[in-house]
Amino acid sequence: MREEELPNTLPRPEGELEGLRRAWAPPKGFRLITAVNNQVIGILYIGAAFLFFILAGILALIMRTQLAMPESELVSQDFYNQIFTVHGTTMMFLFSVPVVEALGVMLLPQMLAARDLPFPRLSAFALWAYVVGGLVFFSTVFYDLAPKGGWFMYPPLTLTEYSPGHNADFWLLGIGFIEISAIAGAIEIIVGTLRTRPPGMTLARMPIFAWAMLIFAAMIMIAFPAVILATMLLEIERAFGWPFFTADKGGDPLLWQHLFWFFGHPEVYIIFLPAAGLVSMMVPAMAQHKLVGYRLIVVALIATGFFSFGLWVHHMFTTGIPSLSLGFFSAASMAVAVPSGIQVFSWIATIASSKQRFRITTPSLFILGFLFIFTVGGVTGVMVALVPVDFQVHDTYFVVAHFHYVLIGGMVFPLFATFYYWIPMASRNMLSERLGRWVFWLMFIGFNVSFFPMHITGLIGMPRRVWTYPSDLGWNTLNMVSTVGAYILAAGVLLFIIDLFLRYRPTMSGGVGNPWNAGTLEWLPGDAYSSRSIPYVTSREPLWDQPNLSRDVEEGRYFLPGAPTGGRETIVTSPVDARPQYIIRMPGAGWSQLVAAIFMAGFFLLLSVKLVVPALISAFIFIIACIVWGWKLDHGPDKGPVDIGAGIILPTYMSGHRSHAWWAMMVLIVVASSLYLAYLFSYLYLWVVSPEVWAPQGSPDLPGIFWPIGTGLLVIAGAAAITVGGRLLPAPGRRRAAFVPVFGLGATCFLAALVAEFWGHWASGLRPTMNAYGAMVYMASFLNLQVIAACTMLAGFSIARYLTGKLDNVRRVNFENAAQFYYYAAAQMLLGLVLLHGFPRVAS
Amino acid sequence: MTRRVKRTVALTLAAASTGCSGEQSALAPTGVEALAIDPLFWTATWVGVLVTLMVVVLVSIALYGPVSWRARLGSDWIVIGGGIVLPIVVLTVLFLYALFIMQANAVRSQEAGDEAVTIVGKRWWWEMTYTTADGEKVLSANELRLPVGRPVRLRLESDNVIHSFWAPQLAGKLDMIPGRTNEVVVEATEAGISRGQCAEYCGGAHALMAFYVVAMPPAEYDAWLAREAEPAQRPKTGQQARGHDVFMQNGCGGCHQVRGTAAQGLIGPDLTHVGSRHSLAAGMLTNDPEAFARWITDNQHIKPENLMPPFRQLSEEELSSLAVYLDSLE
Amino acid sequence: MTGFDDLRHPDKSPSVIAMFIYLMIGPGLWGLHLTLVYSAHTLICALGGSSDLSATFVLIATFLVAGPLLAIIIMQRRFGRLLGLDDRLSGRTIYDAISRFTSVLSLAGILWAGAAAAIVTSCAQGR
Repeated sequence: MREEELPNTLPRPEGELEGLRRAWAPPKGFRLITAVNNQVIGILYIGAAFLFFILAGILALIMRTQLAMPESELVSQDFYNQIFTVHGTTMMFLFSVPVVEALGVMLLPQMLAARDLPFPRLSAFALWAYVVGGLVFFSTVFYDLAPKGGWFMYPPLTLTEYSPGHNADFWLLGIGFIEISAIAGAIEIIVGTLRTRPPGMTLARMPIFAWAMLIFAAMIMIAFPAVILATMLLEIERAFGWPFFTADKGGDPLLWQHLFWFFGHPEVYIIFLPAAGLVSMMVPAMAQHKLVGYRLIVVALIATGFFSFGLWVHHMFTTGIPSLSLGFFSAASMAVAVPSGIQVFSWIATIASSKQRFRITTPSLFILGFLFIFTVGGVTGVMVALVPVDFQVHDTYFVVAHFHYVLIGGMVFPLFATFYYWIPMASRNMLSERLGRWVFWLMFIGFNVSFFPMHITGLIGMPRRVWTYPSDLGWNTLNMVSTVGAYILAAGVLLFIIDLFLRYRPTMSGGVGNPWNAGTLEWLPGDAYSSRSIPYVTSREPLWDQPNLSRDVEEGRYFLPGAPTGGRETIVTSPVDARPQYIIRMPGAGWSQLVAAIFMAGFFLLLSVKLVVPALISAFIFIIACIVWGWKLDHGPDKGPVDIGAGIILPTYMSGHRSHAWWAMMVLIVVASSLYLAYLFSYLYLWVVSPEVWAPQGSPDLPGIFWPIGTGLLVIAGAAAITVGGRLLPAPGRRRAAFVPVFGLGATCFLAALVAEFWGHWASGLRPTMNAYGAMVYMASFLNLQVIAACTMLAGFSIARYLTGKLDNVRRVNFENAAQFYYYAAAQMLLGLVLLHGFPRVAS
Repeated sequence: MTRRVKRTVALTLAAASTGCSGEQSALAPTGVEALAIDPLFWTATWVGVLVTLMVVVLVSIALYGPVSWRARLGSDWIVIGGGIVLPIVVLTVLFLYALFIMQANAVRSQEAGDEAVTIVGKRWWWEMTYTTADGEKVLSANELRLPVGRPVRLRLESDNVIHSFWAPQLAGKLDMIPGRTNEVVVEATEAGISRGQCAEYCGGAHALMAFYVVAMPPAEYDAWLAREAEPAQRPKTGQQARGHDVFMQNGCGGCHQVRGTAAQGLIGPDLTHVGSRHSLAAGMLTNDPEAFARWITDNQHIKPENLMPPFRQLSEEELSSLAVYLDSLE
Repeated sequence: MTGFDDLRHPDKSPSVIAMFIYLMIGPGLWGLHLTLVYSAHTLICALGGSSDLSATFVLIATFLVAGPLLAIIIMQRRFGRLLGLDDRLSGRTIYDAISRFTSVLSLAGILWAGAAAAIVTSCAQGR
């Protein structure tokens, strides 16, 4: 592109850059904790996740030390059972998923040349909820309160009868809000990836990491609700005795396994895909050649995303479900192996295409190590996917070896490559290449020495999760070798930490430049505001293909070179081909999201130890903080349209289906539907297992048919009133008396429907503790209650906005959010009515 | 030959025939199902080794190979051929092989006769119920005896948490889940002793929940089962009689059953023929009077959190008599 | 300022839903197939239906899903047009390739699941 064709001309007006700086400057000193800049949050987030990696790693070393010798009594049985549970839980929930989200927060806006993610305070909220909750959860290990049911917490072992005390509750509630934090991150990432790409960056030009994060977030949306439902069911059974998992009352322990693994298996790929995405970014930079088979890598990511939802039963091959079902899931396990093959070959082909030779740097070493380890893990993955082989190796050290090969190989090694590769972007120094090689070799050798022998240990009979073993079974030497390897691995990590202390000096002003001569946008020169102007992108590696891009961007010749509204803003583009649509105005530093995060964590943790009143106070403060947080978000169109360059004039306010708020709400609705679908599955599943407890034979008769019909009419009337309410919104500056009553009537109809549905069942004599059927019926009301409670709060918020003159037929996003969620609530409740009142009638 | 000598000889023979270290190994199959899985396992292993080697070689070429080789590697077609076509072919073969083994297993299970043992997973031991030819139920614990060459149906259940029954040399594992009865047909192919262990984490002393599998020639097995069905031996010596009294006076019968006596408890393992088993406390201790005495006083150390209280109040004399009595229950 | 003309018409942007369907039709059908065969097989066996019924259902479902998927793979551009995707859309060949290969992988997955029903007896316990 010739210079005179660039969107903005030089010289830039005086004060433009200063305005941009002022808008984006993070707070100083201790107020940094109120910051929301993605580069601040990203670093803190990565740091917190790394801390949990170290902590859980120390637990691993304690376990390995205990297992170094047979019949060792270094730690007690009870303590060992706690630490292996906390090790697994921490690594999965407090390290792997958060660190990947953290990398998304840190890297995505930079790769997309966006000034920030679309909901900066949401990222900050997710971070602080996670830090507070995670630290409290982990600390239970110090005072004998840690859960000891294994990281997948199978009931009946985790029911009150076999796990009295608060230990299991800490897992259930402690993990509950980490799931919320993950979902908050997923919303952020989906909307960010699809809507804040630079002009011209079509889906087909999106960096692979962005594809990977998009699929990662989509998978979280579908997978996490299943485990959220599972934890709710288990906690309700523990606290109130609703028998979801108790076989005597028509429940089934296997229901937990289905729900848990419907989350748990995708979880592995949720962790792996972003790591693979990072590898796909680093390999081309090291090869100085574009990725060979870009489209096939996208294929692999999409296919993995889908197929990984079809193999949850492969964790249940030994539960005795029918052979053919095992066959289906074994088939899906085969299918999911292919995309990994695609990626491995694509990386090999890219390495082979290197301009000179593939550069051997510390990141490359970690990538090569990853390729080897991950291949071995993939191969053993195919072995455990073969049903008969799994009968033998399931729940043994063979599986322990397999998943550490996949997870450490597939995720931790790319993560360390990432540290070495991207730290120059955010630090004044690079990390040491000399120490880096030591770190790599110690970790690589240590890892293999530790985990390879475990394949054999498992095959010759050692089950997982044993705190000790007899000396005469031939496991002694192998275990000793594994322990030695674990310490070598730990030494590598320790050396990395030393390197970090010596060399890492955080900065937001561009770091070391572009030391690897990479081609993607995160290497543009920048500052707290990311890049000075937002480039127009015409290829996948713009820095390679668009000469002078860095210079032109830095001089402000591209789009939006300043802060025209005086605040933080970035360009929102269309999802498929990235045409600019409007300017999003984003909030800056603030206390509300921090307070909300701390008190949400407080609510869950206090609930874990049954301190109900403090928990409720905490919840109240959380809600107030959310209201304060939300109050300032809807600016309205007061700043008018702005010119971003090239004569493109964009509005600074958007409502309707183009608005980012609408998109975020849609993502939340997908999450809610996914939760409800998991509930539908559970209901039908328990019916298949125990039809004998279902109404009308095994339980009191259903309420008469007028109950569901009346409830359904209430729901429809509510939705209609809300639609009418939307039409009644006045023009800006005007009032219309009918809005509040009509909208309020809609909200009331929904509340009435909620009560009617509950009361109908209650009056029939059914009780949730009677049997699994009763528990499931009232669970539907509980889920409706959650949705309606959220709706009611949104409605109250909208009414308050209207009464203060901040809601009208232009500035209407608050109303739209509430209405969208009410429509969803209507759909969920109507579906629930059909299921709860229709199904037993049909099935009997 | 005395009983003690017989037992020692049997154990030594077993150790010699299986190799002491191999007694819980999936790599030393002595059961029909384990033997069927073995070749699939090795096939998959060798395929895996080849795949790993191929990747290592290709990466080496990509890194250091001659330019022409590298150019050939660096194409979309390599990704399609190596990443899609090759895996689909290899996986189809492995998958079909596995399906045929599953099907053969299913057919074998359906064709097996009625001979069955019900095994209930307890915390943290195994309750085994045999059925004699004339339909009598025989309660025992922590040791699975099998007739060589005769398929036996194991009915796996639990009335508490989930356990998993795994005797690697015999067959793959199968879970014991409350509310369900899972069935696996096992068939030992040679006489000998092997070990098994709970494979699904069941809390507390999960690590210490083992058992022995004793495969015997069919005739010996039938004789053993007939003996097992009989009530317990009466005490023969004065010390044994004293032990019997200690047992009854201290309430042991509240949890344990010794058929033919007043002890009818069903909470803990049946002790009618406990003296003839190869181990105590679900594979934890050898079977001799000293081990009985240790277990009775110190069981919370041997198997932490197990549900039996330690009986430290017994005098030395009471304890040794009790141990001798229990050991005599063949 | 000719270079940015295509940026000036955000309304001409293709539908994200259409693109979503186009790229994920294969895995979507695979998911439909798995849901169908797994739930039908479980249900038929739990209600005491015959194993032949279950096997027949699975095989029919396999043909009914694999057939249309194969057709989509063969007539891919037409399928794209059906969804309203412009042939001249920037990056169209890349989207085509993604759609084609995800469909091929899904087809393999569907056929593998079908093969299981052809070999393994339905309703027998998983041993």
